[in-house]
Amino acid sequence: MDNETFKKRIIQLQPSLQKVAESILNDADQATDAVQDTLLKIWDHRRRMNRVSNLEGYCVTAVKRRCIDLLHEQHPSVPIDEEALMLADTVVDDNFEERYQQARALIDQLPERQREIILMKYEQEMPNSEIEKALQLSSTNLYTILSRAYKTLREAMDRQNNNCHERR
Amino acid sequence: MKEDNYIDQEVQDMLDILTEHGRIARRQQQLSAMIDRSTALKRRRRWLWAIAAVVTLSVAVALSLNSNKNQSESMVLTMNEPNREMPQVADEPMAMLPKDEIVTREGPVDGTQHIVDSKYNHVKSSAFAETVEKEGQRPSFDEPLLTEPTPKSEIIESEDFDFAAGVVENPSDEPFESQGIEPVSSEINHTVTNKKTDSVAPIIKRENPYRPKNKFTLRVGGEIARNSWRNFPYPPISPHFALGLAFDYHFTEYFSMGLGAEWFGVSKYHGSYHDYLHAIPVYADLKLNFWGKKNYSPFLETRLGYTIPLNKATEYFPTNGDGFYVDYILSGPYLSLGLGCSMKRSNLSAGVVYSHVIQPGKLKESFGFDIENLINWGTNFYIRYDYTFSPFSDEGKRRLRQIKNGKLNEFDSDGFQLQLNVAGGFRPWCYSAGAVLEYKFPKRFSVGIGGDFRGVNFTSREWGNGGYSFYQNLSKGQLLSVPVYGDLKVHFWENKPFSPFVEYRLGYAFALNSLTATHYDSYMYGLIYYETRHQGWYSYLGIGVTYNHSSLSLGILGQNGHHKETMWGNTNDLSGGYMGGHPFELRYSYKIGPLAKRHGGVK
Repeated sequence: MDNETFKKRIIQLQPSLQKVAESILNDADQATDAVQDTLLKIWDHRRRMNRVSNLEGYCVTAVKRRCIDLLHEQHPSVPIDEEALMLADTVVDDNFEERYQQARALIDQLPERQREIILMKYEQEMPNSEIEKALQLSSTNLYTILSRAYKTLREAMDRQNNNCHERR
Repeated sequence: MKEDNYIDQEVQDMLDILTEHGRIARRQQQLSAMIDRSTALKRRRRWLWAIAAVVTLSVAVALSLNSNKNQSESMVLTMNEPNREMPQVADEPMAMLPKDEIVTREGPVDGTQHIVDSKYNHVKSSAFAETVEKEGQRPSFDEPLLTEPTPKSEIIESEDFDFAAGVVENPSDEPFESQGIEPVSSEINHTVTNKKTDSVAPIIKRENPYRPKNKFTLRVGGEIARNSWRNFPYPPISPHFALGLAFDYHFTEYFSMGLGAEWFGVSKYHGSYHDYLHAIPVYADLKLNFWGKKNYSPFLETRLGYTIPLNKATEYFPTNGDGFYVDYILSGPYLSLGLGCSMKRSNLSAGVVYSHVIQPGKLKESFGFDIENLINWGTNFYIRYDYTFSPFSDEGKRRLRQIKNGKLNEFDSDGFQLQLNVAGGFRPWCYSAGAVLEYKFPKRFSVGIGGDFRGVNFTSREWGNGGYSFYQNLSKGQLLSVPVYGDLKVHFWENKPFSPFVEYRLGYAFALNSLTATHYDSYMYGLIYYETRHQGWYSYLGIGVTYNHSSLSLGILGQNGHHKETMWGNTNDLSGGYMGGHPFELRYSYKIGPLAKRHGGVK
């Protein structure tokens, strides 16, 4: 398994693995660490991965085991039910990508300036001050553009909802 | 900056999806970057390995070419110079070895031909000998070959060769630590032996650090013994113990002589209580090691000296209405003979020590009668352990160099240190506070002098001959004193902040007050006046641990008292016998120092 294959097939599983880890550890940072440890370990043993038929299942199991190890390292007072944790169904949001595509379609309808600012603020999580600096805007300008963007998005969503109702 | 606009919940959910997607994308980018970096590192490492392999191969080829050149020169020297004076080995003709097995060095040394296998560095034939450089570096081919026998060379025949003669200074299988090697002399002293070795490194003359020749060592140790005093008319003296030190000079690895002293204590049982006799035997000692050059060696040790008494024990013998006192002291010639085994620095021995108790026979009571002086010889079977310090050996000097280079931490630096200590004890309750000015030697021991302010919760139970109940409950109070003492401390570990240690103190306590009481003795029909002061010999033996500046120790303490009984105008001075019990003391010390950092290394 080379780099690109690993990125395509394994790293793409990161969101679902993160959810699995968070469901066991109840801590986002620890979950991130657990997923990273697991993926790096899998990378070290990537030559064996060719023999694994269900890569996603393999990775989920590996992450679960790593999470259980982390729980043991915390010396919990209550015994850990490893079997239950291993057998527990993982709630993975399969529609996330679809919902993202829908949201992205709405964003793409925005004028260029508004789209740029919305993506910087939400997708890249840049603070307002940095956006102002990057786009040479005053805070009032930014405020106004964001207001318009929200309004446009609201209207676009309303139109989308109405279309859906009409189709039905 | 303006606050964010109000956002509709549905829009906010949609934007959250955007945020979540952005986070996932960034996380995946990070992971991809980590994977790429890992791959790049491995690739770079592969390149480094390849470069290193090429360099190593080049060096090996160059060395090989150089070696072949030398070999061919050597062959030319051997084969093409028939007129050169090459003394032959007496019994066997010169052997011709294959070209690839000849020869790192050859040439006449004191008329002996020696050929060394270049592959294995040992002799191919028993008729040939191997060159061993005792000191200095291995000879190079640039050096002129010796043509004349030199006085420093010696030839040792195979049958007559004595390995103990000192050609190889350390024939033990277990080599000494190489850190103690002094800078080697540039002078090369060739010695031809038939001793085979697989070592390629030069054999360098070194001294045994545990028995350094022509050097002083200090031994610190102790012993326990079972006494069997003969002709002792009264209950026997219980086992004794001793702690001491000896300063020895090692004439050779086999033989050393020195002077020593120890603190010697015995307990004399009077039937209802113990008295303690203390003495200091001062002696000359002589030690013979059977295996001088090995780390482990049996030895024979003897001591001859004289025992100086430190105190006396007094016993009261009632007669018909009267009584008399008899003093015992531990004094006289001191002789010891023992057999033991040295294990590196530790020496464990067992043997017999002769000492004796003298009854001075002074009549202490006016009604009594004189008794003759009795000298009671005692045969004591002892087991002794002592530890050898060699601060003046090469190893000790190496340690000094380490200190100069600042490789020791500040808690283990040598020099003067001030130690403040407080202690509390029980049986009887006591307390003390004081200071010790000690000098830390480079090795694991320190000596010092100190003084304490000490108080003991005294009850008259300890007064005089404590077995007599009518002395009890007469007076109680604090007996205050100032012990001044010498302090000896031996650490088990060196150069570490944490170390167990043994501490011994010996000194003299000066009384600050006295307690008095009177009692009408119906048995003796008289009024007895008692006076007690805590003045006399002071000793302490403890074990503890030190951690950085702090140390905590637990030990047993002994301090003699000064006790007077006056009756009918006669005064019985009962100085000596301990009147304060033997309290156990828990001591906390804090070290300030080193006061003068001679070497100043803090690491």
